[in-house]
Amino acid sequence: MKNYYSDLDRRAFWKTGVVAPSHLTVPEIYQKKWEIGPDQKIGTAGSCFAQHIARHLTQNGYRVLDVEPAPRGLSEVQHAAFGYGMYSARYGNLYSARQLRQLVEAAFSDDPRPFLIWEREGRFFDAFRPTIEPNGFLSRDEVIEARRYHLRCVRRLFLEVDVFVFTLGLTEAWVHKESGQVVPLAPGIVAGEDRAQDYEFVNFSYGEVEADFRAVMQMLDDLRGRKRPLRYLLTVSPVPLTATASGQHVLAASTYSKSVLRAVAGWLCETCDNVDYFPSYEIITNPAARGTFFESNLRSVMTEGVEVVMNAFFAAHPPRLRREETGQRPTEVPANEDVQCDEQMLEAFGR
Amino acid sequence: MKRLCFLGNSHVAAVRAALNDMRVEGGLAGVEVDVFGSQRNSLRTATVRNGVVGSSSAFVQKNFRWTSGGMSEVEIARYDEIIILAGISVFSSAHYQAGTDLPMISSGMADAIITHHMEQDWAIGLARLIAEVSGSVQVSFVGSPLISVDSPRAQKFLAQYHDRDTGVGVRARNLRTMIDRSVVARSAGNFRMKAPPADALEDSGFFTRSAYCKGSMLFKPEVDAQHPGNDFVHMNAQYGRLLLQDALG
Repeated sequence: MKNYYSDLDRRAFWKTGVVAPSHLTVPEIYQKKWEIGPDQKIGTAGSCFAQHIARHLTQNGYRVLDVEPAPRGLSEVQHAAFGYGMYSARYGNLYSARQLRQLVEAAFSDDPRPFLIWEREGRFFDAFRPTIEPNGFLSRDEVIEARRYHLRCVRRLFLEVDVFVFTLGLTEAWVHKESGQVVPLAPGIVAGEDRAQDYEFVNFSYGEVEADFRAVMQMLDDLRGRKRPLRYLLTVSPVPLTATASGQHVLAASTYSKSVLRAVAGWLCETCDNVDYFPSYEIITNPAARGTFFESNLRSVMTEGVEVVMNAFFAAHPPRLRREETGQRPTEVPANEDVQCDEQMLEAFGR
Repeated sequence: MKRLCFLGNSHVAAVRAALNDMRVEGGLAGVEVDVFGSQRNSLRTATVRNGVVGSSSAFVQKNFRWTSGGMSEVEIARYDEIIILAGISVFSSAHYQAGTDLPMISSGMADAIITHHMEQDWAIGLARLIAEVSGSVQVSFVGSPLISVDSPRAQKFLAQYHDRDTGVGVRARNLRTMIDRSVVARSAGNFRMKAPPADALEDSGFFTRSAYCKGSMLFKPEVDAQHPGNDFVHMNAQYGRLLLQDALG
């Protein structure tokens, strides 16, 4: 007897799509919407899991932009500590869609809102990217100058990029009460302990996350014009929350957060031709993997898990660089511990 | 009697040329100046032992004898100041540039870059070893000259430097102040890093004026000829004169 499920592919059924195949391959989990051409410029941003994607894309011959590269004399060992080489510009981790929206607004408008600077032991920190200067800046003026230069680079990025890969990480954030601006880390973790009363907790809803991302798309569409539409490749970070300030159990809070982000990514992909969704979240949290892609802290994704994710990606978007053809040594992809996750600092506060 | 020693690679040629001129002019009364040079990185073989800078390399020994007028080793305690003219100056913009751009360098980043360079540069390492031998001998690391304003890299840099829209001018001036500050902070005991003579540098402080590069001489005993016109790294006798005047204070 025929029914609506009779002619569906194996990938449509749990038994043949998830249980039967190895969790190391998950065939056909991703079907791309469009090609990423060899000449297309890729921009990357998002929560720390996005660093894996950025690095593997670069290693495999994709043209990933770095509009804010490190000065030549800075030791490579220190690049990540100064926020270099993590993403296409030195913005650090952008965990929420609101952070991305703020960044684009700040880069392209005369944002009248105050520039938030934190202080610790006589050093100064850019509250919007508090971890990009390991010991803080010497003065407020230096923070402002660095920020101005950074925003200049960000403008260039969003005007040049063809495909923007963004990994949604969190819905929880800290908002500056007076200006409504969010910061990636709660005040007091890196610096700004004395300003803690100026901030309040927010847990963004589905509607807010969607509205923030659509606002980004609209702004960039307006700036770039119809001739150069920007494509977005969205992913959701499979890394659970380190801690929650929501009052919920961290497991429930994490599930809520990821669910909202996954739903927004799915809906944007469903409704916008220029948005695609890549299921890195599903590959890592696949029940068939039985949690084996996570490190012993049950949060960090093991190198093997990242490999499976990237193999799924490259199955759809083949590597652009054939090492044996070019004779070039592949760029070494740094190990897991080189990925900078600011929120891991929260663990220090865990009991 | 003040005793000066210039130790370096081909860049000591500028000092040798200046010395010849100044001796003729009688401008070095009460000063004794020795020059020890050996081409390119051959000086990497130099060692500091028993109060002398020497080398097991016959090539270096031969060059030392040629440039100093017979000495194959540098007897450290013999001098009031030893000036090192090899290795890369911390004042070179190359350390701080990213591609052709000069990004915004914070003071913390400038410090990190200078620290890294001091750890990596063999000539700075040699200078510090020499300084450890005798606290009464001032050791000044000047390094190789900053490249000429005529070089393509300098031209690109300066085009941005003078274009207000790029912000490079402001960033470069701030950077220069930070390097000066960092260098002063790192001067400990009898070791210091010095910028090339101020008069030799163009406005930004990161390149050598064209006049000090033109007509620089090859550093070869058997050849008396100038560097080709597209050599932007070697300087002439006028530059050497500024180095000497700087050292004589």
